[in-house]
Amino acid sequence: MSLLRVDNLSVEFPSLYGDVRVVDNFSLQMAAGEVHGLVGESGSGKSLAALAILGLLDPAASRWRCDHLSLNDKDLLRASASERRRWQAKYASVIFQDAQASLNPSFTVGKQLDDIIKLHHGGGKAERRERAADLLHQVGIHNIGPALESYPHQFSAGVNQRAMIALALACEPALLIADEPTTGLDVTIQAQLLELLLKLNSERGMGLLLITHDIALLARNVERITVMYCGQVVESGDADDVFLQPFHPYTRALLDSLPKLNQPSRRLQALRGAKPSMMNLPVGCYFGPRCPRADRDCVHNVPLSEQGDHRYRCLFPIGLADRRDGAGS
Amino acid sequence: MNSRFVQRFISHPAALPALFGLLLILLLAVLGHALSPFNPVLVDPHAQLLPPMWQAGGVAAHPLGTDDLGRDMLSRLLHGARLTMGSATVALLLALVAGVLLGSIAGLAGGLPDLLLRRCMDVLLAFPSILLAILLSLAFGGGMTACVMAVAIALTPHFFRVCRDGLCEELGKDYVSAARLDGAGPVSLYLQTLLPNLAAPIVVRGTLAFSTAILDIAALGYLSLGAPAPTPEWGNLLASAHDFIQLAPWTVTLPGLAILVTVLCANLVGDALRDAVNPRGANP
Amino acid sequence: MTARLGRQLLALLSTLLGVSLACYLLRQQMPEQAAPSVLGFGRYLLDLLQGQFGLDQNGDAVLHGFLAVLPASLELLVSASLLAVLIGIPAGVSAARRHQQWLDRLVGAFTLVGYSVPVFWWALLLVLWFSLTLDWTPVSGRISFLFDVEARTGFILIDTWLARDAYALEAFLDALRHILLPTLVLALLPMAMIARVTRAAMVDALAADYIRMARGQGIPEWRLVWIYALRNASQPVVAVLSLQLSALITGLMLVESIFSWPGVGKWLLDALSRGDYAIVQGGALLLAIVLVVMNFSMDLLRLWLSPPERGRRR
Repeated sequence: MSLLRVDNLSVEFPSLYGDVRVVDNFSLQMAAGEVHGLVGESGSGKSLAALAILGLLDPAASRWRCDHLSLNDKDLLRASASERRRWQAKYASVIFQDAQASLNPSFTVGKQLDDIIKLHHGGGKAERRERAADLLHQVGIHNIGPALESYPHQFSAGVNQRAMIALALACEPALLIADEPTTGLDVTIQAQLLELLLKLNSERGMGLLLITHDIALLARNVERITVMYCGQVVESGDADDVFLQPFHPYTRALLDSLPKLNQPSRRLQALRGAKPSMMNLPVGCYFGPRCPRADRDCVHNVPLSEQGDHRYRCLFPIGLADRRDGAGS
Repeated sequence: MNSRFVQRFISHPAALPALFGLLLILLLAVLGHALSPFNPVLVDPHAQLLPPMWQAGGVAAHPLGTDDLGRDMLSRLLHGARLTMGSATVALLLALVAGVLLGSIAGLAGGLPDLLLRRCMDVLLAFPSILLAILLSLAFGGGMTACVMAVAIALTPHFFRVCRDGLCEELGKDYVSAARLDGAGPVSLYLQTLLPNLAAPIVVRGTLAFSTAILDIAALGYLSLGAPAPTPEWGNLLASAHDFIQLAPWTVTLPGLAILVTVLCANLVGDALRDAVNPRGANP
Repeated sequence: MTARLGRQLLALLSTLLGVSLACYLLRQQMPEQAAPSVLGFGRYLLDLLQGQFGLDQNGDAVLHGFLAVLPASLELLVSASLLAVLIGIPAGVSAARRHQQWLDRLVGAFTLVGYSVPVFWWALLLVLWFSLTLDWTPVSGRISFLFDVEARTGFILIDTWLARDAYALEAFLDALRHILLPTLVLALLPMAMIARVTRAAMVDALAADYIRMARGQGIPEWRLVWIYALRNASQPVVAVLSLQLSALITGLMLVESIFSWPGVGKWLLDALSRGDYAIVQGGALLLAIVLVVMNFSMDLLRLWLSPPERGRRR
């Protein structure tokens, strides 16, 4: 059963210099209960892709189109706007990086939970309160009584993060999209939070889409991974495959920039050059100008290739028997 | 004053026309004496209530018509520009100096002085400019001085607040600590580090306060709490035209339009400045 | 919360003390008064506490005169504020929802003009059109002298409504026509202010993460806009309005003088031209006190609207 399927999603922002395509033919598939990592530098379009999937882009400032979009096996593009919104609200939730900003400062946490529970489950006042308390318990907030009566500004950053997750869980989603959930938190809190998300995944069978710029966060935590660069998917596949044998030089570079315990003396590799501006992208492969393996052919458009379940957008993938490696050996 | 700021200012659609309009009005105010064709208080019994030249019965000698005593409207408006804008500028500068000085003391000293000064400003906020003008005219005699003082006092809390709140915010920032660690003394810290960062919001507030000052001065003139009667201050012009509103509507419309256009230009410039200084600010 | 309230009350009291001190000092500048002294101020304060704000030229208490004209001013103030809120807030909210579109620009242009129009000129133009040219509304006063309304509350709209005689409805409608123009004139500035601040605050509030999150969870759009976002946007609106209260009172005094509306402003200005200085001094102090109290209630409103503010130490 497919939890989420997105085919060829593109998002464009009109600007003074013409339309800027910030997400370019993005595709993604998730099975129910899957933990999926979406990784890319800031500005690679990963958050915008998620917002577009959830229908949360500002329609006045952006345009999007998509070949296919389904959530929990329902084709959302064929549904009416209100139907789509209801379906999405029921089966998908999103949490953002800034928990303080994601909670309404003018209402108590209990009131905010209650609004959503009322919307999705109904029930009497006592029943709803019971449910809200249960949610806070699940995300590891103790002192539940006072917590329900508290305003977000009265909590610490860590507790706010948990309260936000409780809010996201209130509709019992089948898919939780976590947009940079751990960025800006202390390392210990990062670990606790990730543990909590993974626990919710295993206990409730809730699919989890982890969006991050930090590929280290995904190692050993996700089942599948998608790597984005300049609005395009450059590599996707089973996490073990991608981590062990990345085909795309960009993924390789991301992994090389991580410290490894088993190779203590190795110098970390920094990626040369800077990410190009989205308004002025290079011709052909967007990674070309920074790529150590680039060739004359890289100025042509590079399609997404497949090797089993493993997809990559490169003419000269690392370690595959392609022309370059063949000529070299 | 960097080029990005200028660019943002210019990108505001109405900024440049408004700025030129304001400069033109200021120029007219300064040159008003030389430009006006008649003495503004010259009574001409043969030219009473002449309409503007584009209406039937208007004459070219009085392009904007005359009032009930045959005084030339154009001359009166030009002289009035000098009076109204001049007193508004004086009031604005007084308020600016007082507000920034007191605001700096409150922001830098903190503690008790801050508390006392803030209370004083709360007291001032309790007196609208008209009320102040009435009280001051009782204590010190009426006239232009009391009127300008009243407007200045009523504007002071605004500058005080901008300066004090700005200082409190800036003092908590890292660059101030860095300057302190570099060994900057309190005076040089204030003059070289803090004040330049406060200049922008103060200038913005000043432009917007200028329009308030013009409106207040004219209002006081209208209630004859400002300049004495024959002076062609814009508010006075409206007050003396009050009785002829049906007979000679231009004596009412023209001074009002003069005030409206001036204030509109000042507000537009102020808005554009604010947007340029603070591209995404909610602070009105 | 209690501590915060206590601080606020303390500020109120000290501001009231400052206001009376300012009035005392100004009073002592009058030609026939003695030089200001601590003892003199103490005596002045004691008089005030006993409700003695001086006697006017006829020997009547200034306080009585003030209380007699206050309802007319409040009535005008309330009707103008209601109009300003009822139009200003929806205008600001709709402008924010259609950020950078034509409605937004229209509201922006309207608020700019509303900020820039001299109140007294606007009043004269309205009188010229509605009263003199079209003859729709009366030029001045609260009610036609043909009606004899028993003053129960002092609020003419309520009094005519409560009246039981045969002409009650006509009297009410007449009072309504009288208040129409002054209300329109006085409401212009606060309406522009409210629309402008509401728009700016709503643009920020609607872009917040909590709105996106709640939208993703299926909270209906009207609830997002009118409850979730507006509740947060209302705090800066109230903060800006409390700074502009004195501008509102300035407008009130002008409007009363133009439309001969028998309120506090006209009462003060008439006393000034009559040379009844006791009324001017006592009345100015009373008006200032009313303003301080209004400011105080705005602060309380802001505190109530903003949970984070409640806990913060100023």
